[in-house]
Amino acid sequence: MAREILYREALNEALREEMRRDPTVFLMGEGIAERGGSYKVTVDLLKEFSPQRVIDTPIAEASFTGAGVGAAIAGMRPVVEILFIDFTMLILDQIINQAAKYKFMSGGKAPVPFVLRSQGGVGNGLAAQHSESLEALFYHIPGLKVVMPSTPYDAKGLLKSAIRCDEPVIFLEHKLLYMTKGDVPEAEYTINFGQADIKKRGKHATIIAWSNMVPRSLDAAAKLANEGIDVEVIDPRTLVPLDKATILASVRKTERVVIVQEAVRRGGVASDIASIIQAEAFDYLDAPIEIVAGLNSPVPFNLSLESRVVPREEDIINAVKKVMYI
Amino acid sequence: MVTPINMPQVGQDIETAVVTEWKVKSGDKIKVGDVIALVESDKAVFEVEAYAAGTITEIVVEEGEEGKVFEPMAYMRTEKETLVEGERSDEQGEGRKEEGDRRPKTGDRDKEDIEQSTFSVPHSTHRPFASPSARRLARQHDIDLSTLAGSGPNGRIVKKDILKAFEQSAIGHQPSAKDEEMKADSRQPNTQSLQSAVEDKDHAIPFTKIRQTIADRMTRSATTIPHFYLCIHADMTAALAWRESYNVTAVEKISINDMLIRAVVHSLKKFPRMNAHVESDKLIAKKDINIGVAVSLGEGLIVPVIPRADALSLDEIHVAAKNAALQAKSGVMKITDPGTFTISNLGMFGVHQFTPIINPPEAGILGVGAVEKQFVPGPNNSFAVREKIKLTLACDHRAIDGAYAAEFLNSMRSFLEKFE
Repeated sequence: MAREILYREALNEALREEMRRDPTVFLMGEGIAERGGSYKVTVDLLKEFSPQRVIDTPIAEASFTGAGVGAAIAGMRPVVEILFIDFTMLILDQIINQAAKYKFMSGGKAPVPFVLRSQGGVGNGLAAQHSESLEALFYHIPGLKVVMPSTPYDAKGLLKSAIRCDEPVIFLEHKLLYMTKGDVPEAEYTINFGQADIKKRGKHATIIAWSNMVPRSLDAAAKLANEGIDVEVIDPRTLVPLDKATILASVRKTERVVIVQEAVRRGGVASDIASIIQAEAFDYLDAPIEIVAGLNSPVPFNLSLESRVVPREEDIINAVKKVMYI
Repeated sequence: MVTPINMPQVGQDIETAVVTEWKVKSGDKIKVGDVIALVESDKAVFEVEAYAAGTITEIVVEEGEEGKVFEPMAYMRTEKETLVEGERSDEQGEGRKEEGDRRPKTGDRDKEDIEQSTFSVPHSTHRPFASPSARRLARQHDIDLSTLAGSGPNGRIVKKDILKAFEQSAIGHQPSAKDEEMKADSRQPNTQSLQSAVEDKDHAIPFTKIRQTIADRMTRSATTIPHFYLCIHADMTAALAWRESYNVTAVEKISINDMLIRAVVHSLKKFPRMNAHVESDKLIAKKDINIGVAVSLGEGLIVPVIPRADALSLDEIHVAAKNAALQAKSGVMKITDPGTFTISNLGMFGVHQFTPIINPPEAGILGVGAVEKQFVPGPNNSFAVREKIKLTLACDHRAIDGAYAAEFLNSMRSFLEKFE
């Protein structure tokens, strides 16, 4: 039986179910226990589980992330929450030099079953230090999985898989998605990494989008449908590993591609996906791949300017028309 | 002295042609028979060959530009002049002679080959912009991208341009396996609704260049030439039997079309008014017999010419007809003399009979139907089964009268019925 729940409720369920299932799972983060998290993802977990498993930390990201990585190496399954992805700049050594490398450098003897939960993207006027989309930083580092769910269903299924994964997972939520609703089954399920989801089937062009750009692309797709343009919207769901097969199959079908990312254009994941497509489906492309991305700029602390630095619905519509030579 | 290389007349009534590609540039050495440029008329692309050896001194009509026929498209200094002018040229001549002496074979060709290898510079080739998808489709379906105009940015040929070209070529020719494949391809979900979006309502399919040429010429012919038609039955039984036995040992299998060309040539010799160009106040009886054979290309009808068909044996006619058709299909035709009479054969499509429109300024055209078995009454209420063909002759009544045309047809019939 499916019911409609919020994205943040789906995440809460995933944490709760995994903590019940596996006593080595525990949570650490700022304000996650008593307060239930700034976005209420961990609400009420302290009531069910002990303070030893739902730990409020001091404002010392490097320290508690390091503690989490150490605990993972020692056999626990920590889920560490960093309140804003912007703050992960404080923990890069723990993640990049330790978590991502440890299994490799120990000859496979010491896996790091560690989950970093964080959230990114523009909200409503949260300014440059609380609005970034930094998935490309983690995407770049071998040894890390990068997960970016766009729906409550995906959020729950993917978080459960992340917790069960023996490798470090960067699990990136979006602040504007927490209050979105979607169908989530009551029965237990997980979603495997590396399986893209076709959010809308179509035939004229392929939009590849993740996180909050998925609902925006679906809105654009609905508008385009009114004009007789039927686009396919693919959500990779996990950027590492990336489901190339689903993407390439869609490209071979539609022959036109628009990649939408909220992150800034330069050095983004979209560029990398575009390079994969041109290399592996070159003969099928009927138009240059369009990338709709954030401007190469910090996010301004001004609502109307903020809305201009990240892809808008009309930007996506225009890009689709461009690849269709309309 | 420098001599001009004139723009050839690459078809009847052609006043201008476009240089699509220069194979040489100023300063390049050329030898007789080198293809130096590709020139495009309304209907096809022709190769321009060097008529003399020498050096290109100036290109007058640049790639993509239009030039008037019989006017200079480039200038060259012929080899002879190079040799007599100045000492330096003499030295070159000496040097080449020595070179020639060391080689077992001497002669112009060898000398020029040496020059070629010394002086030839790779030239750039024009590559049309096309999307990878368009290229893939064109490759799969043998579509020559250089014949298409791209609708994308920078004139890029995109998938819909290929589909459009295919749609246009599908009109008026028999579906082949390849076409079916192509249709299947265009039925793929990505293009289907694009197609149907177009097909759901009336839509214009603009004429291609070749289509427009056909339209203009046929309109002129049908509206200005007083056509009349004569139809005759010829008994092909003996001819087919002869062909069957001939082809048993023949390397090149003779076709019915080859035999018809032979019969037409035979009768044109006897009826010179049929082998003519007609003007408003005179008929110009042509000295050569140049037979045009209508060939259906994807994008339209084209009539490659077999020049001097009167000087060819049946085997030679076969080879010439085959090569002419292949060249026409390849899109690049040799420049030949203008046709003097045209044959259009739709027999292979099962057409019994049809009335063709004269290819101006010719005086006549022969429409050929299918060979079909017919019961023919014999003596004492007996009957026989014979192979019959219907030949329809269209004539320009300004130059030809019915009786003359009938005699022409009868001559053809008796030739075919006693074919050997």
